[in-house]
Amino acid sequence: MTCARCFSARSSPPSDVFFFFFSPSFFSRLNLPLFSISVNHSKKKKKTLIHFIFFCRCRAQLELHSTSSSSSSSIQINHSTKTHSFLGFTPRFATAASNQTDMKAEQQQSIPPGSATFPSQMPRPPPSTEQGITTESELAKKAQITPNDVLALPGITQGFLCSPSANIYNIEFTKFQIRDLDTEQVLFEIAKPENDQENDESPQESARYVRYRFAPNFLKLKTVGATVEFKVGDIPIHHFRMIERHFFKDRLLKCFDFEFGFCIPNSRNNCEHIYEFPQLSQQLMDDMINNPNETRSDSFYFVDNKLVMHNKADYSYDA
Amino acid sequence: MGFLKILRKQRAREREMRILILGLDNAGKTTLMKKFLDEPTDTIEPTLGFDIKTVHFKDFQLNLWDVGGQKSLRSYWKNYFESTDALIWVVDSSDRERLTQCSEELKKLLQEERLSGASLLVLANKSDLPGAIDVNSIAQVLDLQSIKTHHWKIFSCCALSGERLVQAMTWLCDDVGSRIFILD
Repeated sequence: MTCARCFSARSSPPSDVFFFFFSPSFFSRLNLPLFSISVNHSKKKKKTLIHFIFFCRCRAQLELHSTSSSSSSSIQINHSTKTHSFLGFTPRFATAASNQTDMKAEQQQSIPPGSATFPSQMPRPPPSTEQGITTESELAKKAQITPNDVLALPGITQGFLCSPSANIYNIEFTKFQIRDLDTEQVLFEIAKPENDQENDESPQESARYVRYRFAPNFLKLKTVGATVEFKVGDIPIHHFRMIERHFFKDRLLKCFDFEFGFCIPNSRNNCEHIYEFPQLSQQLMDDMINNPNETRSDSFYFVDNKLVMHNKADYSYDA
Repeated sequence: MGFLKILRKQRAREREMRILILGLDNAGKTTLMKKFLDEPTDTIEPTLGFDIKTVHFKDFQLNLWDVGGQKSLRSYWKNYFESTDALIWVVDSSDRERLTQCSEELKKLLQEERLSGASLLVLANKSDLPGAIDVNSIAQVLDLQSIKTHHWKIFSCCALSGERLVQAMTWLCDDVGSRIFILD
């Protein structure tokens, strides 16, 4: 498999299954007022757009509908035309899980397919029992965390390995798109509006953790192009590298390792990776579908071998 | 066996190529890349950074790096030279005024040590426009004949219609392929 080595000869850890990934980094700045998500159902020109509007916790006054003190950020989906269903992207009005108790069960019921939410509480996965080379608590004590450190971790992390303020380069993800190359359909697109004003508030802890929900057939996609667009601040960035590790329970499904290299100051950059998805075994697919949010990912971003961003996501396929 | 050779072998197995697309601003680099990928070309904006795409073509995986060509960005081009297998230099055939400037920028690139050995594909884009300079004249102004350090070839093309794009890319892949993917 070449996906993780698209642009460098660096080899990634072996894995026997491939798994759909969805970078949570895009959501790294929850202080964005809204995102709009468009789903393109038709081939090429004929576009049907369904707008999902993300109301973040801090800007929820527009259409506030989730207001407990520990409320989750929520997604409001507005669609004015007809209902479409494609790969589980059935638009529905979403409601946020506002009750913290039994949040998991409630969220499972209320989160619409093809969606992302920002749960207020990050479920802590059990610590890995494997005797790894590195443990998370050891890493937390280090002044500088390197790619090799995270690659040696035995499982998904329980906390974040750096604070939001470590992103001194103002790296900001502005667009994320998934397209199915077999049908040339855009499956999922989230873009930050162009005219959005810069918000100086520091990103919140909860912004770094995203929950995705998809329909089961999302696991059956074969060739997918994932585009990410990001802006950087006025400091030149050398050796910008992303490592994304996906686990189902304690099993490593896939590790993406990609070096963007250099980023021009104040530039807006765009990158599309093509991923070939082998067929997952029915057993594994069933397991993943039957265990919502047990599929998790850690996204680590490094500049000059130093960790500057850490985002997390979990996924369910029971929509 | 040296490290480089191991690395090269590894890449050969994956049949991967890194292709850098450069040229003055408004030459049509992004349009060309999108057209090659069969993506819509109606909403192209100036590239203010890089635009990376991967595509499978002729059994190769091409990693296309399109970097913005505005004057303020050109000094950053050097950051993208590393491990480049091929350079596509895009020329706006209708831009007579800046052809000399275009030639100078190309000359600078060809002196770069880190680009030595990379195959050079010159694309005389927008050849369909009225008043476009013909491909032979462009080759002369760019003084391509004097290039001894790189394999090169020039094609006239039209990024919007995709004309001759596939032929040009085929030449490039064949040339790079014959150079770096020689089986032992």
